[in-house]
Amino acid sequence: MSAATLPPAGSVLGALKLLAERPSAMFGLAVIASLVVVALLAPWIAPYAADDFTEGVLEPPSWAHLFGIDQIGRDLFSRVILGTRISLRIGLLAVGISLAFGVTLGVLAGYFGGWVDAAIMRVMDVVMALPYVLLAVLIATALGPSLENGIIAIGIVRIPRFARVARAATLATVELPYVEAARCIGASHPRIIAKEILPNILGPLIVYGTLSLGDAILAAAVLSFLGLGAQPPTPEWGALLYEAQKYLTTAAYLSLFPGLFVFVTVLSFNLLGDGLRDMLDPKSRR
Amino acid sequence: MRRVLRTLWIRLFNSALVIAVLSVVVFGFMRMIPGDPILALMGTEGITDAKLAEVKKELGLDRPLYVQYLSWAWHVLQGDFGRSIQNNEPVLPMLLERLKVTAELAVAATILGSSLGILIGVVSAVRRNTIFDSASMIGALSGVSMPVFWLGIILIVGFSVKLDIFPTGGLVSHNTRLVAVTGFPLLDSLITGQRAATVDILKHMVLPTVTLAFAPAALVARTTRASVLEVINEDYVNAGLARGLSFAGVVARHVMRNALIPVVTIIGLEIGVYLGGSIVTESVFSYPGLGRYMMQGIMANDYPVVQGAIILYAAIIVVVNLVVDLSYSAIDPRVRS
Repeated sequence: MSAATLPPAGSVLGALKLLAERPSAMFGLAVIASLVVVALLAPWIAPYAADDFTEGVLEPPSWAHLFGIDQIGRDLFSRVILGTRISLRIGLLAVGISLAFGVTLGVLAGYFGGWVDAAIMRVMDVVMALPYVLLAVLIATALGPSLENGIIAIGIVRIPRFARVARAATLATVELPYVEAARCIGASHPRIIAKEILPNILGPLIVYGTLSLGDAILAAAVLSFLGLGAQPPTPEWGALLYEAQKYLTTAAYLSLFPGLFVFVTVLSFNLLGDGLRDMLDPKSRR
Repeated sequence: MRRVLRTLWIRLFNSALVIAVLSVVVFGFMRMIPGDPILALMGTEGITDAKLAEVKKELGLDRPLYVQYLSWAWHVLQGDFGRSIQNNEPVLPMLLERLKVTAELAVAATILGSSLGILIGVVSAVRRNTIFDSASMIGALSGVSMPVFWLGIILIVGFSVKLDIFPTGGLVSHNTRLVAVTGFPLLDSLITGQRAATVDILKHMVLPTVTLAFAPAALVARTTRASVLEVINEDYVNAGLARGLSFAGVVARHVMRNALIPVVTIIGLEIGVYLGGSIVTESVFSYPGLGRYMMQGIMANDYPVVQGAIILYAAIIVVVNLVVDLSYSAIDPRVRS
């Protein structure tokens, strides 16, 4: 990934205008914005609480219960809506963990080079040697199955990837004249990193962070589905699917809606991330 | 040649190092797991502390951690992965048996995913900015965004429950008898000429294969498209056309060869996606492969099984990455120097 440049500071509007040229990215942004609103207003949108019992069991979708009623009489629509809040929070927290540790390690590796670089990146290589899902399963298992541990597991798994992106961007930035200038006027390493490097590697990190948000939500759903993440009765989307799989033959709609929400959410983050990458990297504009 | 050999040795050494470090990590992780494997095995009722200590001693779980690790690692190096805590059977033969099942599934999915991905990618690039291009790229992005297990569920609901074309899961039907020769179920059924069993196995493979191939196909399609677009405007393409070669011929002979390197890399890197995906896919389809076996091991706190499975996964990935690196030189002579 080349060092991308952000539009001039303070021009969020300018960035939006650039993004508006890409309908798919705007679609992603719009869906994500709606999901955020849904997540914030979830308790008011959902007609029932997550563990409220309504009348009937395993009822297919109807006007009264848009997504149907689950095996013990809960309104699925309410649970999926309330799950939005959980899933978005998982994404943010997990990516926050990867970002904090990954960027720190990556920037240190790229900035100092030499043995610091070698040591950090070798460790990252070892972590990357295992498939994403496998490693997340392993960490979640070791920590014990729960929503919080799932978030930690997913956060840890992505650290090396963020480190790589941050390192590559730092390497491209560290040789630039303004960094050299800062060094010449005697700026300390922490100051150079904070004032010169970090603001200039934001571009690739924003792109990768956006793509990772979708991935993290997806990974959380996988962990819950395997029984290692959020545990029922938490209405996390993956946990909803975990509960629903016993009723595939009798009540397939229980699997349909939570999965659809995962899919659309992840797709939106990917569309937005792709759009941002194209926007920030003129080379890939075709 | 000497340099090539030297590089190869360094790569092999690094690979071994990665696996060694991973083995320590995995060993440590497994011991962190809450819950006692002995209790998971025997149940909590009617177990005295003395009995517990006795069983632990028998299994060697009373020794210091580093002794347990070194002893385990020493045995693994000799091909002895220990015995399952659940049923006391040697782990390695069971792992290999399951791996063969997963291997057939993964190979089928790799063939399907790669060929479909390359085909869609090339056509998209050649017919850039047409409806086909847009549709297939949206499809590709959907493929990357779709939860694997959800796709599996949808396929089961559609093709098994509603249409009743394919079975909902498992390796074979209950009444099918398999004669083991090599341990690869599909291959065995072909070798022994059991037509009915072959058909039955294939029927059971279709949905898991499609599920497993979906996301990788999408990635391959995206990479192929970008990669073909990089080279399609090169001078030698025009030169080929000017000399009267057909467009399809130029794409097949010149564009593909040059565009293939990133694609081969992606397909190679995908082995991790296939193996990771197989854990989920096998769980959805109750497919008796390595992934499902490992998940069962995790649920039962069966250390030797889980450790062995992960070491096996890591070894496969490291080896495949090595092969992918080496295959560059076969595709692109420039890499050899």
